[in-house]
Amino acid sequence: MVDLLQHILNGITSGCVLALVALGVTLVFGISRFASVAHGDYVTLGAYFALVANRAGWNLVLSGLVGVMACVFFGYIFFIFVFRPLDRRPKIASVIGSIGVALVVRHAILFIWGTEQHSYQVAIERGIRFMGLMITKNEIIIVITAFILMAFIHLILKKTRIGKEMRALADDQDLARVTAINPLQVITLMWILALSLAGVAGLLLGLKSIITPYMGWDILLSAFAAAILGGIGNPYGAMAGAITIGVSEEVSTMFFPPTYRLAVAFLIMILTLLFRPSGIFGQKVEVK
Amino acid sequence: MFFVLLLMALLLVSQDNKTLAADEIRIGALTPLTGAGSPYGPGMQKSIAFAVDEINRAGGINGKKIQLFTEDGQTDPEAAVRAAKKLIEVNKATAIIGTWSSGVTMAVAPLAINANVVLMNTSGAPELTTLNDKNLVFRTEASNVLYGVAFSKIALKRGYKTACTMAFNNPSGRGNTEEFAKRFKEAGGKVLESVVYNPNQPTYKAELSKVLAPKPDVIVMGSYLPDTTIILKEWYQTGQPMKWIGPAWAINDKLIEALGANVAEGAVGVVTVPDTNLPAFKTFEMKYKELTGQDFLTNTYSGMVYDHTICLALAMVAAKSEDPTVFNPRIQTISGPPGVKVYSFEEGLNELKKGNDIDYDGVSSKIDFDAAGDVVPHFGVFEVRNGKRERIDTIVIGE
Repeated sequence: MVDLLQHILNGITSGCVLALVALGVTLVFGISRFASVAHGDYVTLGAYFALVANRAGWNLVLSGLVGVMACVFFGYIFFIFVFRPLDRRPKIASVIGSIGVALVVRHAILFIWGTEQHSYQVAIERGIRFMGLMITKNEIIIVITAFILMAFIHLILKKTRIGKEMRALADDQDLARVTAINPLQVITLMWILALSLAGVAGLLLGLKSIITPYMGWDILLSAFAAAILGGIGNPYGAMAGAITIGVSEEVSTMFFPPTYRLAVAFLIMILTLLFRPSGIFGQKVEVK
Repeated sequence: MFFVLLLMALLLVSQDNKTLAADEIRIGALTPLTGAGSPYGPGMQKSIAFAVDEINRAGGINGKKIQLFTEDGQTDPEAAVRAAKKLIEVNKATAIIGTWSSGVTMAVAPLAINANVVLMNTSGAPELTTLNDKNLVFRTEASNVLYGVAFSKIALKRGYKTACTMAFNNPSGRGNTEEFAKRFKEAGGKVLESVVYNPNQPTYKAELSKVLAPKPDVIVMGSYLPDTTIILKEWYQTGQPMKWIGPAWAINDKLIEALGANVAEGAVGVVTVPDTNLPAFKTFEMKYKELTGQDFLTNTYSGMVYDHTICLALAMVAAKSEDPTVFNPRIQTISGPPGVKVYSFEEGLNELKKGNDIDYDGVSSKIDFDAAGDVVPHFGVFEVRNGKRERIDTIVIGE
């Protein structure tokens, strides 16, 4: 029983990092209607810029901000020069474009920082124990940060005018356009949010494990799965989907060899989609 | 496309003039000058060139000089295959020396075997032992299976009774731990749990909890640096005391740097090392320092490729032929017993001229190639003590 709870707890902490990535993927899909393959590499980019700041002696919060700013800056440049010109083309053009952006970002990172692994300058501490369960200080930070960000996104979407416009644009692009919504403004905000989340995810992922040029790419498949599981385009679905995948991956290792953990998580995704083809929270989405 | 063809045609013409005119023996050096093998490749290349120089200065092979062609394998199977093709087809090399990672060696091997070219490498994949290679593929790094044997010897020597294993899901990782488990059990030890894990995960907590739960005396790893870093970090967080044994390409200075001296303390890394008692060791050590400014022991592969080149040349002399399909069995006979012990190309050449059998002992190991083209080098045991790796023991397999 304690084992099961511990696995669930571990699953929630990995799910929280995954949720931030999946949330970014789903926001981009919701408004711009394409799955951005570059999102994983934006995560890596954030982690490396935070590393530079951390090496310069800045604390983790400031380092994270540097990572977020770098993500927003470079990501927005790619939006202006790649995704915006491709917007009027069939959506496959944007997907292919994002593959190109992913490769450019990854290889720029490889070129500048090399293939070696890195870590933030944080001492490794023993975990905190309560009632037979164990959690580390970093994991508590990860969970709290992730939940604060998710709540923040929720408030923007529900309570602000631009958030409502964003949801309107996600629901029906044509209708939104005729009701005086400025799509560029909304899309810009969407990118800023998605890229900021990627930056934070990079910091948290680097904190939890190690920083490598492939860290974001490696997590991208799970993030896509989480977004689809929750109903792609739906922010709450992405969060729920990510935590479901995180928990099922960890819990599955109690019953199957660990090499099958990803397979089990995907099996759960397939089963869910069989019964709810548009995901847990999904509405029908039309891709043009 | 047209320009590429044109360029290749020009290249072919120019190379043909250069290579086919002279009466020379053509050998290709294919070492990782870039990529993950880049700390080793440049030193390896210099060592091959140095050996070629020694051979040519001693009068060459059967009256012919060696011409060396060098290529960068980039630690990338795809790039290495392109380079190997060039060495075989354009430069007409009779042998390729110096492929380092198993992935590269496994990719280049079929090309070499098809073209009847000798491939001498420093890779550990167990498959290289069983490969149907027409006796053309030789290696001087220990097979990963031998690493398992060494792990077991170390664990027994330290008095461990129970063990768990964790293996990276590839032939090398599983080869390490499966052979360890077999040997450890044969010697009366108990293996309580064996976990195989996937690469590139951000966390290994679930896998770790499986091997920590039965509270073994030691956990033996068949792993690489990134996964080992995450696993040891997550282990330390649990606070459970544990001993670790793994290959030194995972438990090394980079690991200590990433984890801190506290966490890495006591971890044991194992790697093949040159036998420092070999007569030729000291000379090569000094020469290597002169060539690269580095310590030979930081790049033991350099000694291995030096030995490759000398063995190749002696086999050609012994067979009085430069045709790989003729001289290849001689690689075994000149490197292993019986025969007069020789420690350099010149000594070997003189003994062969007298009509004696020879047994070449190299700078990296005794180099007794078996029928599969494998050798049994010594293993150095390094333990992390106060944040530094210290050589604490040497394991000699078969003793």
